[in-house]
Amino acid sequence: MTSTRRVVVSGIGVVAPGAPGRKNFWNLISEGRTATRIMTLVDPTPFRSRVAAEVDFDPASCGLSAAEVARLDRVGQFALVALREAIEDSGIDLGQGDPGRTGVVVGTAVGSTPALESEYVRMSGRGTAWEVDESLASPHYYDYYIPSSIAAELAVEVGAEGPVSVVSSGCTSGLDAVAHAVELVREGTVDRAVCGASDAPISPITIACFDAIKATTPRLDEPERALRPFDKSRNGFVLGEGAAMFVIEELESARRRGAPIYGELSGFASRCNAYHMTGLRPDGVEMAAAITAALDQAGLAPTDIGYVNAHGSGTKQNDRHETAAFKLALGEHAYRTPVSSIKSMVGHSLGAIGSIEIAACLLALQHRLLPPTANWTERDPECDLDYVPVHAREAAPEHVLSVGSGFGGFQSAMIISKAGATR
Amino acid sequence: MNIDTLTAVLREVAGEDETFDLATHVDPDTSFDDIGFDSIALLEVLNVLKREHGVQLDDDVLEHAKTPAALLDVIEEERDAA
Amino acid sequence: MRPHITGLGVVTPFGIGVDPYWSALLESANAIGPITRFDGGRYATGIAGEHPGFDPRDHLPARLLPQTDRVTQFALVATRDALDDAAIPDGAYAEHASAVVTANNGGGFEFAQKEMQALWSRGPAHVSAYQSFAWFYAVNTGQISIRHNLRGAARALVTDDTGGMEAVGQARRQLRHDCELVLAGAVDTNLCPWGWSAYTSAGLMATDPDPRTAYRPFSPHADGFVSGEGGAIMTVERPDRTGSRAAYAAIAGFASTFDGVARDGRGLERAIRVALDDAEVDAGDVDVVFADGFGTREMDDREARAITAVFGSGGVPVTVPKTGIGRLGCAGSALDVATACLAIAKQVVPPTPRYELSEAASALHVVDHPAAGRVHTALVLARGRGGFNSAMVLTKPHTELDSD
Repeated sequence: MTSTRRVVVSGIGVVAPGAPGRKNFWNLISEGRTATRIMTLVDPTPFRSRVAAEVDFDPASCGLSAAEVARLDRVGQFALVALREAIEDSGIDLGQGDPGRTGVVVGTAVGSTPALESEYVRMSGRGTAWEVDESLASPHYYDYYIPSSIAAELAVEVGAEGPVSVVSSGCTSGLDAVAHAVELVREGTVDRAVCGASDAPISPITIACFDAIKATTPRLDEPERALRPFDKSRNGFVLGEGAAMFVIEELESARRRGAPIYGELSGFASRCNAYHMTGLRPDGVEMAAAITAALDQAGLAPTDIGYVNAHGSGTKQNDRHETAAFKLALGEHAYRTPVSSIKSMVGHSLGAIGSIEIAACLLALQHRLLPPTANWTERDPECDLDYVPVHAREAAPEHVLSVGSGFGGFQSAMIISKAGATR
Repeated sequence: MNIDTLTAVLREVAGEDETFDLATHVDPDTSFDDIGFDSIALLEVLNVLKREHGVQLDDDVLEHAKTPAALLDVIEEERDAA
Repeated sequence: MRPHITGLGVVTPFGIGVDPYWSALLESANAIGPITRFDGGRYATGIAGEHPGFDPRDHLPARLLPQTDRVTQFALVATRDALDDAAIPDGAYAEHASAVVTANNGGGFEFAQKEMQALWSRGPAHVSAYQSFAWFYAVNTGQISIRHNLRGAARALVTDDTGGMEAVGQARRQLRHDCELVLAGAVDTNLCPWGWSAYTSAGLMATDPDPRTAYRPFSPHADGFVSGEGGAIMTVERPDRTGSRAAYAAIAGFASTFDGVARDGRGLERAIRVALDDAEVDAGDVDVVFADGFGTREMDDREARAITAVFGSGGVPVTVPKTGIGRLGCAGSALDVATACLAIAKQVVPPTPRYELSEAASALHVVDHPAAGRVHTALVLARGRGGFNSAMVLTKPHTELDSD
């Protein structure tokens, strides 16, 4: 096994709440603006939580054909648009070389749930019948049923013939999918991969199930200030949507073709709390173990970390858990390390957010600017770190940490390093 | 609401199991924790109380009602206040 | 490093456990029949390989039942059996070195259909709190980890019907990094009206209503497959950590490929060649091929050509033991890996029922009776809709093939 291959990101594409595109995304989060609002994709009236972070998405102006719009649910459309931006950004010609040496890995937590729900409503007569009428199904129903169709779509788009897969580990999918692709490059199965994650979960069933466990915020006044990570008044997350895709390749081959190098994906680990499908152990021990193992893989010490991009979902439980995990893993250094949650601005897009946060980390390294935690005004005694409140902060870290935490008990940690900063 | 109705709700939410019979098998002062009710199960109990029995309780009720008996007390208080 | 598969847990249309499954395979038994879980007569295909008479109360604590779909209940039963079978001593592995990797196609879909019905017929207040985690694709990975305190790197994969094998392949990858024990595999069921119609509306399944003849891979009349339910979860361990415990097989090689736009079957051939290379074995060393057996003429012909291209005409015994139970979604490939493990352990190739073969398949040496003999190296193939191919080489442990 070749464990010395180093993997870098040479292209980034983002579709995030607000206007699509990498630059729009960076402008939003670096200016500390928020994209949360009263939801428009679904009639909010019957729900407890009525705020969402939505993408102002016009498929045609994003370059999608009528056929692509017809066969892909919003989740697949986001992925395809982000992929094309990433490939253009990297300047890579994936038609060159052995297509069997290109892999595709897509993360998604809930896949084409909105389309599935539409199919259900039509075929069941709005839930009046248990037996459904198969003759009313769309010709794309099976593709909505199984999210691997999204990875297949992207693989055909780039002509990849290596391993193609969907990683669907709930809210850590966006980190885990990129890590999965890194493993494929590092072990030598492929030389390059397109990877990232997409989710477009804003539909009645998803809103209703988070209402039922009171995980999303009931706040209705000031929807633009609804999601308040680490703040004392935080009371739940805001559902978001979006995608981020990357071109990753082996470092030497990226250098040879003179590609832009945003950063190196230098360490990753995940752990499972084996505790509860939605609950978190208060001590944060599994997330801390994931961080420590990721640091080990990158050959780094806790003091090497100059910024933490937090999961920071803005639930009482998560932010407390995460703060404890940072202290456990980084020790005293946790108090000296800026920590921020971009979910305050772009919401929680479930499986996609991990990749969107990787994009934020890479852009922060490039711009030497740390995106803030918007809406943070009042300290919670249980969350006593430096959360970069409200305004972005100039800083030039060499290594940053991004973490994710999700239902199922999954905890993931990724280290992203400035190109040339490791070994 | 009496102990039998609450037993029925708990059964519906957490599965058929004779150990949920609060009148005979379980001391209603046993903590929810000890009878295997986690936070999600308890939220579902609140959901069922609301939609099937018209009992609307505050979200933070579970922070102090830690046993079936305590929950029953809170339900009765809500009823009296209404 | 060639990880060892040391414990098997299977749930199949023949019942729970390895023994009823294996003896049914040897008899070429058929478990396909009319659907009983819902009104199958309303759909283009009304027959399936159902797992009969499953009562989760016989196997799982009452507390788990309201929060789990049938697919998760199957997964928990299979995991329990795999761990029992492996008989790993308590404390042999650190919690953080023990992990779960499963694949999924639809998640807890029947559970989700009930909640959809509650939402759309009665309103959002009627959606269960459990819906927040009973449906999503990672549900089995999460529930297995909780029930057995497996706290290492968890993962859930979706690659259509190659998923179960991909999960076992991912287990090997993780054992090379920071894991020492991985519970890997998949179970699947699409047997609720909403899930079933995803398959029937796509025209994927056989229209022949006769359960005895509807699913016949490589037959000239193959016009689709029949779905079954169940799957396999297995314990995969580092070979240097199993001590004196027996292992069914070593994972010697693994490869996954994508067809690309050509869709000519070359992707499967490539997967076979890469997997054999990875295993450092020649085509001539392979004692049996467990074919994917998609069940349509076009897909079967492609597979026959890929096998023939690598092994030559009649060059290797081929079997499709899933013929009697149907395709188990993403779990069929995990079950095929388990079946190959049993074939190696018992040194018997389980048969494919005897029927007429298509012209392309006539070049295959299809095994139609239980064939006792040397089974030291088995190749297992899997494909998924959209262009997914996987191949895995399993070898008999502690032989000259298991050197590194």
